[in-house]
Amino acid sequence: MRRVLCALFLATCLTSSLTAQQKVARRLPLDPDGAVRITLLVGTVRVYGWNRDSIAATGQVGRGSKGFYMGGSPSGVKLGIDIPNDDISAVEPSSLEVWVPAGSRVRVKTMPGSIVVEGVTGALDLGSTSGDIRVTGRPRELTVETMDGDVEVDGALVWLRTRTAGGDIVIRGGAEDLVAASVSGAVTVGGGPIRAARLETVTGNIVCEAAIARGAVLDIGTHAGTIRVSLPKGSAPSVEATTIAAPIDNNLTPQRAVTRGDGRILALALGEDARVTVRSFKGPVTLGWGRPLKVVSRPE
Amino acid sequence: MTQHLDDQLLSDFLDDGLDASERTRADAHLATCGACASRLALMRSVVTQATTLPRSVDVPPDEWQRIRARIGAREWRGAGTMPWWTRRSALLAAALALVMVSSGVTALLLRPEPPVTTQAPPPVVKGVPATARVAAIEDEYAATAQQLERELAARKHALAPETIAAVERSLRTIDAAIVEAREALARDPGSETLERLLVAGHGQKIELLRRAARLATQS
Repeated sequence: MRRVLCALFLATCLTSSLTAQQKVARRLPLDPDGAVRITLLVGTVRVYGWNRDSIAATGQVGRGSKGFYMGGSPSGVKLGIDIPNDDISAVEPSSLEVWVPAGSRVRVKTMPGSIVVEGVTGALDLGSTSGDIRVTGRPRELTVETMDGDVEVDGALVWLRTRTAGGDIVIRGGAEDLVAASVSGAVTVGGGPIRAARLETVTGNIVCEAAIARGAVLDIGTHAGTIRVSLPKGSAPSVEATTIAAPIDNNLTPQRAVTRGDGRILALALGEDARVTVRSFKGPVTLGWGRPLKVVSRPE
Repeated sequence: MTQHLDDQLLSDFLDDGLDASERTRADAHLATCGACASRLALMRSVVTQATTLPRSVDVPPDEWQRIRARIGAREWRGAGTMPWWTRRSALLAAALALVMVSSGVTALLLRPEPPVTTQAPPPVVKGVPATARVAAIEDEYAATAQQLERELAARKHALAPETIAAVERSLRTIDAAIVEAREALARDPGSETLERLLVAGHGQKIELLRRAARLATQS
């Protein structure tokens, strides 16, 4: 009887160890501007920039996954967690925390997994189907694409391209050269200064209250979302707002929008600081003054 | 390596983004697989052709005069400081660009987005009526969208059902907006705002399909 109980105990232990989450801990040398490619289809990826010439990864492999892989050379490292037959429904979420040289070029791909990046100054290319993506810091270039996940960027960037279908986009630090687009998600931009920006949605609302560089060009368009633009108080931009079937609420000057053809137009020539174009089919447009920020000189 | 190389790996191969062992394996496969070798050649050719396209086009002085005349009393703000997407002639540029890359559109669209310049002036073609121009642009977008939809349909199995649902939901939203803008433009053919909204809708549809196809490829 004792032998049977021991056998059962050992079998239970063995089964548990096979199905339990497997821990990950690995480190490799990596150049300060090395390339990093991370693929984790199900789970959470966190990437941190650090001041060392190496890449380190820790985390846990979710039940059902094949396992962790990591390899490459000092110029480039690939890592991730494989799942059998790429069947994301058959595995439990994994998690990875990866420390990379701050200047690395990092690409992260997940399916329903979220991505968090902090302190990386190299180019970032982040993509997910339905996971949220959050970036803090000042990457040289940032590309973020997701279908249903939300995007949150906190840090003054030079170059940013971000697109979602149903997710919201929040950019707190602004970007000198910015494209932010969503279908039904909201787009909110603050910070700045912005030099050139295109913000567009189909039904999502747009809020722009960023500082603007001298000579900036802002192009904002939607089909049915609301648009609210708050320009820095004290700036003198030229503004042209047009709608087809929606009101334009102008709080910048006493001037009112006029009817033209099927739509309405409001053209304000307040100065040469910036050029703002707002276009909407049936989403109402509100223009007003924001915080009393000075218009910043255009970066060379 | 018995399986064919996927587009992402071929793209990395072209970008010299593979590590030594991957490159060796890819080289070995390409040496014996005609299908992958020809696909790589096609991608290389598209990239080469794309890089030879002019970043800007010199417009004859009389064209600018004609445009100024059409604008009439409106203030001319100076094209050199305007991003390409803010100009009406960008509509035509978009159509021309689509024509130029149509043979390799899928390969190009599946690649990461290149940096967007805000300075390149678009080409201008005189004597093209607005309605004909818009129709031509819509035709080009429709052809590109169909090609991407085929590409996506072939790889749909790689996406989760909820992702497919999200894509289809967004496509319905965009299509409804396109229809609404098109009907309004038919009532007011001279509306620059409607023209831009219509083209923006098509652009968003292409972008969404491109993104979905890319996601399906990398999964």
